[in-house]
Amino acid sequence: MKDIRKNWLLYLMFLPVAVYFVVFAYIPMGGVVMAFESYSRQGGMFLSEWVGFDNFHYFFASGKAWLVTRNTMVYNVMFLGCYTLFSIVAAVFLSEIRRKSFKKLSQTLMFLPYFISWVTVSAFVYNFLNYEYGIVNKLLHYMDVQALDIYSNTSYWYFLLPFLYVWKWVGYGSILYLAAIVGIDQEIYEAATIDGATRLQRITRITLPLLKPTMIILLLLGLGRIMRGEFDMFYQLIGNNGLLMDATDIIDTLAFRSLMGSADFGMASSVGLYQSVLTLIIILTANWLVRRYDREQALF
Amino acid sequence: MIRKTKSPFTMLALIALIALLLAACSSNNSSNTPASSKVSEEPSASASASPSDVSKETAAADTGNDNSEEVKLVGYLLGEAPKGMPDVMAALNEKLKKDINATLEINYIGWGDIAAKYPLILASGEDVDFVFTADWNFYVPEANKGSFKELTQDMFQKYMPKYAAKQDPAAYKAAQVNGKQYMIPTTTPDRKVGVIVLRKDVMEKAGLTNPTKISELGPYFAEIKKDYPNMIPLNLDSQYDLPAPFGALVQEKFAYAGAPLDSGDPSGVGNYTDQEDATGKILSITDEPVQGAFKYAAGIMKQWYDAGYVNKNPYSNKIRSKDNFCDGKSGVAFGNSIDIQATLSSCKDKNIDTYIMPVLSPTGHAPSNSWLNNGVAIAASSKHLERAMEALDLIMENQDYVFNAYYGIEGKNYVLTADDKLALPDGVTAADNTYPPDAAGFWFVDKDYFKPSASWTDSYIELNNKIKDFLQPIPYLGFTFNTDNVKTEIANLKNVSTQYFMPLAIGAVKDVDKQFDSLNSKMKAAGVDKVKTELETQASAFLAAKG
Repeated sequence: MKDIRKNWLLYLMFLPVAVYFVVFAYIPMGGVVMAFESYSRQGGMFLSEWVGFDNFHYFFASGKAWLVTRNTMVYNVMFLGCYTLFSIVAAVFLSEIRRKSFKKLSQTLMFLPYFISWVTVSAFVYNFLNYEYGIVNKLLHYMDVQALDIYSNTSYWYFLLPFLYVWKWVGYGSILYLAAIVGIDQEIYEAATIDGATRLQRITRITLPLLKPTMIILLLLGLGRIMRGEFDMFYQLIGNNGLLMDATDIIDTLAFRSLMGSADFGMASSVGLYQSVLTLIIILTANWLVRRYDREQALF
Repeated sequence: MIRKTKSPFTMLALIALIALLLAACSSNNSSNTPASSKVSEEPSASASASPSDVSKETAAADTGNDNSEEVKLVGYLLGEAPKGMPDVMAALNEKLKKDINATLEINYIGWGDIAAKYPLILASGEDVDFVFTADWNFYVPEANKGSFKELTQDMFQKYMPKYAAKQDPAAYKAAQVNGKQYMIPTTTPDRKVGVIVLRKDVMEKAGLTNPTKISELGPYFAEIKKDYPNMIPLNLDSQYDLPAPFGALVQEKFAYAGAPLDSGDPSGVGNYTDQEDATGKILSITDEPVQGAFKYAAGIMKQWYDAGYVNKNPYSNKIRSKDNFCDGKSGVAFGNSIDIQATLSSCKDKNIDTYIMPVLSPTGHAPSNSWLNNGVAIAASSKHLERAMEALDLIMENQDYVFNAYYGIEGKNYVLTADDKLALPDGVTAADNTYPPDAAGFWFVDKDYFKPSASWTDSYIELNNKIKDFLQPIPYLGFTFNTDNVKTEIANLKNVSTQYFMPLAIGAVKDVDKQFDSLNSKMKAAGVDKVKTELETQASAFLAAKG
């Protein structure tokens, strides 16, 4: 109480954030009960018939529970890894560019995909890659190379999906890391330069080690989303393509596909709850590992 | 240390806040339910009150309902608004305002979003009075969930007198879910058959004169592949066309139809019936004739796919073949005898001669459509049940309204010729008509008011004349499958079907027999037998009730 009175301004500044999380994160948690109910309009969220774990049955009976859980995790780990790597590389490169106009230009161009929705991306990916009149196949035809049937072969997508993900997000990530780099004390670099450190040495010995805290925090935050598949992306790019499904089906698309016809809120929430529980376990584990290794860097 | 004393307090405050808000939510919820049930009771209360003041005859004349308060009705239809929609709505609203002191706003749910958006609109408690519904469009599942208001005979008599006079009593029965009716089904079930449209110029070159079956079209596709580099013989879209050629091939072997057996995805449940089998035996995919016919169809599709006759990725293609047929991008157009009209007339404008091939069973028949094929339901959250029903009575059964809603504005979107045919006004072509017939989604209006169109091609007129001979009532006319008890299985079957059946249907498989085996075993695992048992129970109860 005393603390509040003393730092009231800080608390006031915190208030909007608190309200935001209460309204959009804590209150909706009440909806978890729907996972255990047979939802009806009359009963609504809290008074529908209680059915226990029946709603979970479908997900595990689908025979794909393990497959999609694995896909979701593998893709997200891959995404997170590529995203972090390329964001850091891009941020370091950007920070080394001396010419301002070029720096701004490349930053803008890298950031641009962030604003394009997956719906649009899927439309032009389709026009690039479709078998009959895709640009890629037109070019290959021109060069007398066999046309590629990308939409029926899973192997291309193991590369394409992370590529598109990085393409879309790297601009955003690089800004976060760039901000951290800008925050590094310039005197350290000056001292290193005077001591005769090369540019590469300055990057590997100064920039990267000092980026580590930022990286760990961003990774931990990223892990929080690891069980949430990038639904927009998978749904727009792959859709209901049965040929690619074993390789590209994630929890979110599976649930969406099987439940969209019946629109059963109970069954859908059960999948959401499953994801949340796994996420919680993953975050706690990751944070515990980080804490063991370096207490300072852990989130909590 | 200060930290420690503070945090329990904030946590407590938070919890208190959450509890308060939750309580507010739930009390809101529970107070809502009685309120909504009150609304539905009101009409019956006033129904018993008003006839005492007003005699029945005058009640029919000016409906005898209290329309003194102006209301705005909100309706949802499927598809998208035609360009001329605002003008048409203005005209419609002028009439509605005069007749029942109401105005109407129509919103659309796009074809691609139906599955996601339709339940959402009903669930959100958003301002919505009526929605399009049909046995193929979530009628039963949504009715089960209580998304629609129950409709009683009293209401129809009182608020929809013209409709009640016209409707077949059997339609009310067909619309019942668990003994209660939630839909206002159309009074005129569609008289339509599935059709495949071909180009006469290609047919000539391919040496085809009179094809009647899709399996005869091999040379036609080969000709396209050879001489029309920009045209894909079967340019299928992800929704409608994808299973269409497969379905047409299966139809050559037995009277196959997915739809009313499963009130959602036709290929989802893995249970079928021969629609010309009077006993109505439910068949699974391993029973004959289903298995043989499916393998036959899948074999041909595979040949065609391997020969490059089918577009490689229909899953990402959102343009129906009937919409790019006249642009020379698709070799055939799939549709039904009603929605294909626009395609035919725009081809006519471009001087492309068309040939229409109806999709029929081996005996040359097609199942007649149920009343539930097109209809409207009143949303459970609607506060204007009476007025919405009155408005729908006018829109569905009053000729002025029907023309207005279906054809647009006279003189602008259509004119009537001297011989009582429908034509376009001078200077308007099919392509730039801002309100093409049928496009606005008012499919539930009384089709007996419709006029033949002056732009119909000879072959279309010929087809139209034959349709009534093609159509034949099926044993399961008006049957809807209530999937409430097997929704887990249905959800999984839908999934299996997307992954294992769809590739088979477009021919994109390495080995038809192997794919069949995996489809079978996955369906078994997903519980197809349980669904079959449930379906058999409901189906035999339906047949028994019908007598």
